[in-house]
Amino acid sequence: MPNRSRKIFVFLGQRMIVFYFIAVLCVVSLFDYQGTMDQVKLSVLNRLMPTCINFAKFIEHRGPLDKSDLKDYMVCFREVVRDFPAFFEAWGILGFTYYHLGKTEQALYSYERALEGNPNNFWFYHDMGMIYFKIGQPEKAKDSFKKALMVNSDITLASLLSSRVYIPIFQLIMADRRAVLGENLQKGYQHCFQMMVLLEYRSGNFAEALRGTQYAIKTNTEPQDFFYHFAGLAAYQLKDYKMALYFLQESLKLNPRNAEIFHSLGLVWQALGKNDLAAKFFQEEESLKKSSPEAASIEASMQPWLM
Amino acid sequence: MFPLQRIKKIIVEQPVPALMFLSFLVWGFAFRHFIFDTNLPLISDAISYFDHSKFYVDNLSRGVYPLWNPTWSCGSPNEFFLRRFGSFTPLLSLSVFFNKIGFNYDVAYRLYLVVYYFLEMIGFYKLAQCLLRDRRMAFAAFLLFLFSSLGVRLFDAYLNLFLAPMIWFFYFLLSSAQKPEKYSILGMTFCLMIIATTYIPFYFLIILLSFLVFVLLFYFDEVKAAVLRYWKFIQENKVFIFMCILFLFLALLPGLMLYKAGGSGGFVLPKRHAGLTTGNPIEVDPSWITSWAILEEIFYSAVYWEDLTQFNFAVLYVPVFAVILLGLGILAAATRRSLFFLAWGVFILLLSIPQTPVYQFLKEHVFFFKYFRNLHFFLWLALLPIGILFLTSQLQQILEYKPRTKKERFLWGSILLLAHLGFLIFLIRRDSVVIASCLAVVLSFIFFIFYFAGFAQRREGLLLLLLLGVISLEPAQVYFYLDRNTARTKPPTYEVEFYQHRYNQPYLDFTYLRGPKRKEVRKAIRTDERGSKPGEYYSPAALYYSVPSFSVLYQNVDVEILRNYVNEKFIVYDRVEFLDDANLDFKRIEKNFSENVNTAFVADASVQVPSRESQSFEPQAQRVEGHSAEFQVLSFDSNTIKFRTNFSQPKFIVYNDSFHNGWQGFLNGKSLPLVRANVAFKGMWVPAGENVVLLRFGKASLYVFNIFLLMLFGGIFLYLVFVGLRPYFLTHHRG
Repeated sequence: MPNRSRKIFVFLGQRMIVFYFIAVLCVVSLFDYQGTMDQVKLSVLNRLMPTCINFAKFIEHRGPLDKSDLKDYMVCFREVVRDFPAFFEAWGILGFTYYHLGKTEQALYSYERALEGNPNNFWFYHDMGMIYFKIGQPEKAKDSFKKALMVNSDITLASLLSSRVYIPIFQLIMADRRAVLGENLQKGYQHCFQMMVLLEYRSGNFAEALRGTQYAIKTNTEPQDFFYHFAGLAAYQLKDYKMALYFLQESLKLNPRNAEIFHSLGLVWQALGKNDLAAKFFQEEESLKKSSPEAASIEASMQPWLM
Repeated sequence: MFPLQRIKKIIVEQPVPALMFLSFLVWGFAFRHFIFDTNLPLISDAISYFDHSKFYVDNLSRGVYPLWNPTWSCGSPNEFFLRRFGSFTPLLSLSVFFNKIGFNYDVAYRLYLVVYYFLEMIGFYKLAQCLLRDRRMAFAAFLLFLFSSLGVRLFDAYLNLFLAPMIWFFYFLLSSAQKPEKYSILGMTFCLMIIATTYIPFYFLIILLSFLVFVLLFYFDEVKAAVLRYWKFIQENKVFIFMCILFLFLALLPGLMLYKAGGSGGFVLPKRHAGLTTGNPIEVDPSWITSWAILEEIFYSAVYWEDLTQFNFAVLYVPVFAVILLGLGILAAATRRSLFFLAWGVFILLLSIPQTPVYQFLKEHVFFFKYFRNLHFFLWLALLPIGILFLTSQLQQILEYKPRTKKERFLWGSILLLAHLGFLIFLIRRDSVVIASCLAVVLSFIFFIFYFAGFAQRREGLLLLLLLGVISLEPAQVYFYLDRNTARTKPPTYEVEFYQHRYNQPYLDFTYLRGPKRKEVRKAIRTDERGSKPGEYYSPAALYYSVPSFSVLYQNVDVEILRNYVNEKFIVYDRVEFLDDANLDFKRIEKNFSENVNTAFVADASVQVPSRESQSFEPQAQRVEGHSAEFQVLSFDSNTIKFRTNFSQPKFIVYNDSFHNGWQGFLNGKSLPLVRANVAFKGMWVPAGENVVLLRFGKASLYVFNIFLLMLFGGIFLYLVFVGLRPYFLTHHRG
């Protein structure tokens, strides 16, 4: 062996690196490393699994999910998807926790992964739509909501009830879980519809918004006051003031304390040249806002929640 | 000399003590909420240790040595819990001291734990100094240990209660091996006494035995010389050695008595003993051992190493400087000391992995392996301190390298720069970046540059201050995250909540009822008839500790009916009926309990039924809800109860406190036989007329022995402290 190489060999042979290597070899060779590690991973995941009672209460609308609950889920399911990357339901929950913790990029990625394995889950599309809406990407949001509305709700319900991830949570639901989940899904679809109308309106597609709201009114989709209101707004934008008046007045009948409706009615009367009447409505709007600030915003009254 | 000048002199000449004090302040600041904010509760096992310590201290303050706990599982022997937290440790009195000076007991207890922890760190510093023979390296080891997540375990576990005496033991062992002295031998003895009376001493035994084996392998000549020195010392101090052995023997007795009590059916541990059908109840079901061992603990911690912003309890963590040392140490020379630490550490790791032949062999051939289950404890008790000592010896190796030529200096600087830069890039590229980690890496580089530039010789204090900054910076942020991630709510006291142990509420005085007074007499409804309650369960197997008969009752009688039955502590019956233990009809027992039938079941067929004037009985038993002309409790403490009766007829009284052979009864000063009634409780016939009944647990000799041990421990501790600190006071007085 050349002299220089021998010197390097002797040098390394006297260094700790060799003994680290021997120590690691010793440890891994003395037992079934792979088999043991699988067991260890499962034990660790079980330990990381947070208590599900708050999640169950959240699903039943009996209580909020606070940040520490969400962080526990995030830590747990981050490990689950690392060890089981094909466990798509886990990606779904991870997306949910990321979203509520404000990590939108990770949330979107997680939902996309979840959809790879389960393209028939309403909630994944719905939640992605909400994320895109929040980060100001309306076209992508609309696309997601459209896909959500096209998913069969029965398929979503069946997949939720049979999901290994959700079973421990659902076991803690006090009421009939099928009824609770079904009700949540129904509200989710309604919410999706609302978001579609809102997005069409905001992007200036007033005819589409009007069509959507009329459909919702015809099919008795809740919340009716919202759809009547947006129908009125869309008609106003399309300069069909009589139609706008009709819809807005119907909306007011259903929700007489919504300041925004008074404002919209004021605009319509103003457009019709009835300024005195318009002023009355604007005044009513102001007095309502003072007495109940929460009555002010439509968007605030829509509680976007994810499942 | 003015005080300020004196302080400055101390800091300049002896920077280490001043910096250690500063380190404690930094640590205390990082954990201030955990110490002082009681909205941040103790977690997990720390809760029960707090509870049992408080129970003990509260009773002692009333002059009662509590060998019985009437609040646990309807009454159970307390020795088990006294051994768990180490009732003889003199430092527990600190919790009383802090309470007396104005802190509520919750905070006082935490302060006691913190002082305990600081003493442990001082011990580790002294141990490191013995091993590394360099106070700067010992200071580095001290910092790494102090700021590791061992401190977090104060608030969720109890490891430090027996790790502290272990560390001091090894310090005394090593210092006495170099030069045997009475002080260090007594110190070793005292540490062994604490270890023998706290929790399970087998962890220490394994660590000590493995240490001795590896020390023999690596340091045979030095061990031979040390043994000769010890022998000479023993020859010259026979009386002293005999006293030490006697003290140690006395300290072993409580543990042995507990083991014997377990073997003779004095208590059961259903949850822990689980599937085992034979053996002492202290034995652990093997499934408990293998379900969570050292690899699980390491991989669980690894989840949080990837994202320190989510830091949590029970996560192994060392400051990032340790990782830098591990990396730089790869090219350090392999010395005997490094190899000793590495080999010893690997052995401990192997015996903590249940799947390895090392563990299997020891379990088959070493009897005490079946008495402990928490193999992951070795991570904290052995691997962490050994690892830190190993890394510090690596640091010593690194710092001993003296580049002579310009080329060597350049090469060494480049290696340091590349290593730090590489690690910094690795940290920055992670999803969650902790700024303090990056700053610590930068500071570490500056530290090494300063050192190799010769700064150490000129300004040792500043260099060590820089080292404090390097090591403590990241932990300060990590513990901030822990603070932020910890919920500010009171947790449930225990997983299984048959009875809430609320020692912060008044509990020492006797109450006739365990729960609220009944508004009406009603039949208790079985749990399953009330409908299921998702999320809540009453699992019989979840009972942790009780007397055997209560465990049987708990497992077989509906818990709501049982809870309803024991609400009144005293029930007065007119009739008894023998019920064979081999043939217990639990449905009938439930019926009797829920309908309050006026017949008590007794386990002894020979119970004499006194004759009565009248044979007509009320259909229902008399539940005592308060004192009356017929019944009044005169005095009560954890170990005794005295009550007066004045019934017109002989009555059979059932005291719903668990039956145990250690209880003695006295009626008007004469012996009164106690029988096991209603499966698990104390029953006794009392004659008509006025009588005074006294029930007492344990013999007087047992109390005397325990008090004596308490004083012995306290005396030895005070002596050690006085003698240990005397040189410092004498030096300053002369200075």
